[in-house]
Amino acid sequence: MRPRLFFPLSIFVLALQSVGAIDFQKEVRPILETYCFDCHGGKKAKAAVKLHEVQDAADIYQHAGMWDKVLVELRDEAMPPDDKPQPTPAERERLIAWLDQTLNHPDPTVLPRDPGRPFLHRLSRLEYNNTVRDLLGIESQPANEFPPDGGGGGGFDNNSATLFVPPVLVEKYLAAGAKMLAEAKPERLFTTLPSDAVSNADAARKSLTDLATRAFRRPVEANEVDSLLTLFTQADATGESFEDAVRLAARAILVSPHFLFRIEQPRGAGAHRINDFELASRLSYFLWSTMPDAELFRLAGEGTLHESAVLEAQTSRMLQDPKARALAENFAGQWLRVHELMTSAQPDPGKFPEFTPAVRDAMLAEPIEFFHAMLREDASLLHLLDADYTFANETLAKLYGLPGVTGDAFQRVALTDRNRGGVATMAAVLTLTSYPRRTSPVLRGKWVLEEILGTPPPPPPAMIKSLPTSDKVRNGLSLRQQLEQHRADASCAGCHKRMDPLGFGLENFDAIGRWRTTVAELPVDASGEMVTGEKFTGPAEMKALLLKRKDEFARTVSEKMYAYALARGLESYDVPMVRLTVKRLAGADYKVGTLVREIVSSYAFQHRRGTEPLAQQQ
Amino acid sequence: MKATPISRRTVLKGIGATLCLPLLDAMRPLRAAALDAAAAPVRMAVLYMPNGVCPGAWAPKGAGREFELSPILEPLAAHKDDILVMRELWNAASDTGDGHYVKTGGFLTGTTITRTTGSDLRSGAVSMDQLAAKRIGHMTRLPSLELGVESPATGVDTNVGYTQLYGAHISWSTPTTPLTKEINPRAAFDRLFRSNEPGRAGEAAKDRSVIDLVLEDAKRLQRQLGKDDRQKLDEYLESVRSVEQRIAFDAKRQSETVRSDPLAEKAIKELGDRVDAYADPARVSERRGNHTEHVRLMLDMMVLSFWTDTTRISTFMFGNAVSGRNFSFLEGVSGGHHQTSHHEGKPEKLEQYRRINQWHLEQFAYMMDKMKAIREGERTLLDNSMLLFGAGMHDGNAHNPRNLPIVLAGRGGGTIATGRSVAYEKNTPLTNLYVGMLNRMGTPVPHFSDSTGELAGLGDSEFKGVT
Repeated sequence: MRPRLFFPLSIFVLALQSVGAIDFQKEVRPILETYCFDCHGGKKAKAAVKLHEVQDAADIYQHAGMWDKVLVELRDEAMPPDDKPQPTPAERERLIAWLDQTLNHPDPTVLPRDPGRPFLHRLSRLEYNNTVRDLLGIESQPANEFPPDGGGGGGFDNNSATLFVPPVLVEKYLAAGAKMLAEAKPERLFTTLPSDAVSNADAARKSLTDLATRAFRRPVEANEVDSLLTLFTQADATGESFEDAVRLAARAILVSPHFLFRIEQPRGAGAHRINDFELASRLSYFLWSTMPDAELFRLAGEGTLHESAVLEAQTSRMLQDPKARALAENFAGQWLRVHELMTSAQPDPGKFPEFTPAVRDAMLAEPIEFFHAMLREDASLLHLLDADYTFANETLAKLYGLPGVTGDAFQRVALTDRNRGGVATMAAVLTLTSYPRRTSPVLRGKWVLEEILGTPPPPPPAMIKSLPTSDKVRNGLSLRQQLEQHRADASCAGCHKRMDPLGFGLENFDAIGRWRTTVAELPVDASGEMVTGEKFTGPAEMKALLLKRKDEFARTVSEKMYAYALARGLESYDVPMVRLTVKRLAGADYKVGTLVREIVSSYAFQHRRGTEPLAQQQ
Repeated sequence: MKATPISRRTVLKGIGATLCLPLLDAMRPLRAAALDAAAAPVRMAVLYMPNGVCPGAWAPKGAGREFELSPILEPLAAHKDDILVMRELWNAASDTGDGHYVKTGGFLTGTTITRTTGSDLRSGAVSMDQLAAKRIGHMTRLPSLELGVESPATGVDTNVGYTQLYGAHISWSTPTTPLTKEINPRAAFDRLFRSNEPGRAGEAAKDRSVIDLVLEDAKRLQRQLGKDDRQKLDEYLESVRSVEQRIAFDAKRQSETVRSDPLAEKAIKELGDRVDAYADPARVSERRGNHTEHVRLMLDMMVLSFWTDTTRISTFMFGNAVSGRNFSFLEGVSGGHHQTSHHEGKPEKLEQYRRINQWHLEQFAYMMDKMKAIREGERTLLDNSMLLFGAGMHDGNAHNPRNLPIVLAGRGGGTIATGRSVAYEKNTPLTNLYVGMLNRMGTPVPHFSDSTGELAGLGDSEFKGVT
C-alpha cells in the first residue's frame, strides 16, 4: 500500500459521504431503502435500476447516467409511483440535494486521482499524415494507403486502445518511409552537409540527431544516434552518396516505435505528471492532430510548458492557428460522423438524383467549417444547438434555398429563417439519419437524444417491428401516423415517446436535408410534444426547447471532447472532473475555448499512471 | 450426378484425413512453379455475409445427395456437385449480447466477445483461421490474407454498448487483437503481387537492415515500459518480426530462380489491369456504383493468392455487421441491406432480402467458377480448397444464431464428399466444422472452443445426417 495515493482517495470518499453536511450512510441510504429498494433493489430490480448496489458515495460515479435519471425522476416527482408510499417533502429534498451536489457540484479539491489506463498511442492515419507533413514537408498523405483505423472509447478513431499494429501496417510503414524520404524537402533531412571542415560522419550525426529529435518529439540520447549511424556507415561503405546513406538511417527513424507511437516513459510505479515534451505532444495531437511545433518544443525544453499561464497562452495561440482546423475536422467531424456520407449514407439515386458528389462534399464540409469558426471566434457551444448563421458554398446554398452565395468556397451565411441553424438541421446530419428513400423520425429522434442530450435510448427488443422503406401513404395512414400507431404498442411506447417527437420536429427536412412543406402530397406535420409536456410546432420551436437544456448538452459535448483529448473512453473516475467542467462552462457562457482550456488543465490530461495498475497500489 | 470416386475416398480413409494426397501428375501445367515438387496443399477461405438470410429461402429440400437447391442457393446450380450444405449448426456462445456484434466478432472464435465501448476489446480466443496461420503460415509468403470491402466504423453502437470494431473483424490473431482487413483493391494487389518483383531485391536488403535496427530499439524500449504499455509494443514487435520473415521468404524464393507459371503470370497481369482501372481517380463515380466489381476484385485476389501459393488461408467480409449498404443496384431492391433484413414477414421485403442474399451467392459462384478452371494435377484448385460461406445468424429479423446458413465448397484435397445437403442434430456446434477444417489443413486440433469433436460425415458421401 502506498500512503501517498491512498490518502487522497480516502479523503475523497469521506468528503462525499458528508457532502453539504448530509451523511450518505445515515441520512441518504435509509431513504432509498425505505422507498426505492422494494422495486429497484435486489436481483429483480425493475428497469435494471439497481439502487441497492450503492455502498458508498463514490459508487454513484459508476452509474452516473442512471443516477442522473434518478435525480430527474425525483425532481419531477415521477418516482416513487403514485400508488406506492411517498417520501416526506423533507426526505425528498435531502435526497435531491445530496444527489445534485454529488453529481453536479463535486468538490474540486477531492476529485479522484486516476489518469486512466495508459496504452502506447500509435499515430492514427490522420495523425501520421499530418506529422510527416510537418516533419518532412510533404503533402502526399501516405497514410491514405494504410488500412483504416477502427475506433472505440468515446467513438473517435484516435482511441489508443483500438489503434492496432497489424503486420500489413508495418509493411506499409516500411514502404512509405522510403518513398517519403525521396520526396522530403532536403533542408528537413540534411541540416548539416559535409564540407572541408565537417566530415561525412559528423554531418550525418548532426542531420540524424536533428531529424530524430523532431520525429521522436523529444531530445535524443547519444547512443540512439550511434545506432542510427551504423546504418549510415554501412551504406557509406558500399559507396552510396552521403544523401542516400543518411536516408537509409532516416528510414529506421520512420519505422521506429519512438516515432510511430507517442511514448510516455513511466517514471515510477505510481501516477505522476508527464514531462513537458510529453505534454507538448498531448497538446498538439489534441488541438492539431500533429507533432508539436518549434515554439512548443522550445517551451518544453525550457521546462515551462506546464506552468498554467504558459499553457493557457499556448492553448489560445494554437486555437487561432490554421492547424486547429484538425480539431474541427476530427473532433466535430467524427462526432457528427460526417465521413459516413462517403460510405454508408446512400440516398437512393433514383429518388434523390440531387445527391451528387458535389452536394455530398458540401454537406460534409459545413459542420467542419462551422466548428472551426467557433474555435477561432471562441463562440458559445450553444451555437451547435441553434445559430443564426452557417457556412455554405453555392452548392449547399442551393440545396438550402439560400440566395446570394456563389462559388465553391465556403463562406459565412446569415440565416433569417430560424428553422435552419445548428447541427441538427445541417444536411449532413439529416441525411445520415435518413434511409435511402425516406426520412426516419425515429433515427433522427434517437440522434438528438444521443448526441445532443446524451441520453441514448436502450436497445430495441430483438423482434422489432420495422416500417416501410418509402414514405408512401399506406392504408390511408401517413408515415407519421403509422409511427404513432406503432407507439400504441406499450412495449415500444416507453422509448418511442421520447424519440419520435424529436424526429417529427425535423420532418420539414427531407432525406437529403432540403426544406419541404409536404410529404407524399400531404402537408408536413412537424409538431410534437416532449415527454415533459412541452409542445412545439416545428424545427425552430423545438430547438428553442432544446436550448433550455443547456447543461445536458454541455455535458454531452464535454464528455465527447474529453474522450477525444484523452484518446480513451471515459470511466467512472472521470465523471466528477467532467461535471465540474460543465459547471464552469455554465459560468463562462459555454465558450468552446473554456472547454478546451478546462480539458488541457485537467489532472487526467497532465498525468499518467505509472508502471503498476492503480488497483494494485491501493 | 458426378460423385467423388470411391477409390480415392477409400484411400483417404486409410491414410488419415490430415495428409494430402501426393500429386504424381507430370503435366500440371497451371501450377506455380515453386510448388511443383510438393503436393498441392489444401487451402481454406471463409466468406462472411452480414445480416443473415431470408427465412424459408435458404434450406435446400431433401437430404444427402438427393437435394434441391433453395432459391437463395440457386446461383450455385452449376456447382451443385462441389458444395456441402450444412443445416442446424449453431454458435452457442453468440446466443447472447446483441443482435449483430457478438455474432460477427465471435463467428470464427466460437466465443462470447466482451461487451465494451473500446477499452477492453476481447474476443476471447484466436480465430480458427489464425490458429491455422500460426502453424502453417511460415510455409507461404503471407501467413494469411484478410480482405473486405467496407471500412470499419469508428463509433460505438450505443444501442447495444459495443464498439463497432467488433462488427468489422472476424479474424483475431490474439484474443485481444483483431486483424485489420484490406479493403482497397490496389493496396491489396500491390502487396500481394507487386512488392516482391525481382527489381525490389536491393530494397528488401535495405528493409532488412532497417528492421534489424528497429527491433533492437524496440526491445530496449520494452524493458522500460509498464505492463499496460507493453501490450501495444508486443503487438508492434510481433508484426515487425512477421515482416522480417516475409522479407527472408522473398529473398529465398528469388534465389531459387523460380520458373514462373505463364498462365498465372497472365492472370496476375489481367487482374492488375482491372485493379488499376478500378483505382483510376477519373472513374470515381463509376466506381461508386460498381460494388460487384469491388467484391470480385477481392475474390479474384484470393483465388490468385491460392493459385500461386502466396497464402493458403484467407478471410473475406462481404460487409460489416449491420451493414446498411444500398442494394438498389439490383432490380427490385429499394433499400439498405440491414433495413431490408428487418422484413417483418412482409412479402415485398422478404423478396428484396432474398434477392440481396442471392447476389452474395452469385459472387460465391463466380469465385468457384474461377477456381474450377485452374487445374492442379488431376484436380482443380477448388478441389484442393475449402471455402466456407456463411452468416452469424439465420433470419436477420430475429437475430437467431441457431441453424446458421453454412455452405462449404471444395473437396479439401479430396477429403470432403461434396454434392450433399446434411441436416445435423439441432444445435450442433459450428466449431465442430472448424475442427474438421483445421484437421484437413494439416493443423489438427483435439477441440476448438465449444466443439464436441469433428463434424460427422464430412468425407462420407452416403451421410445424410438426421432425416
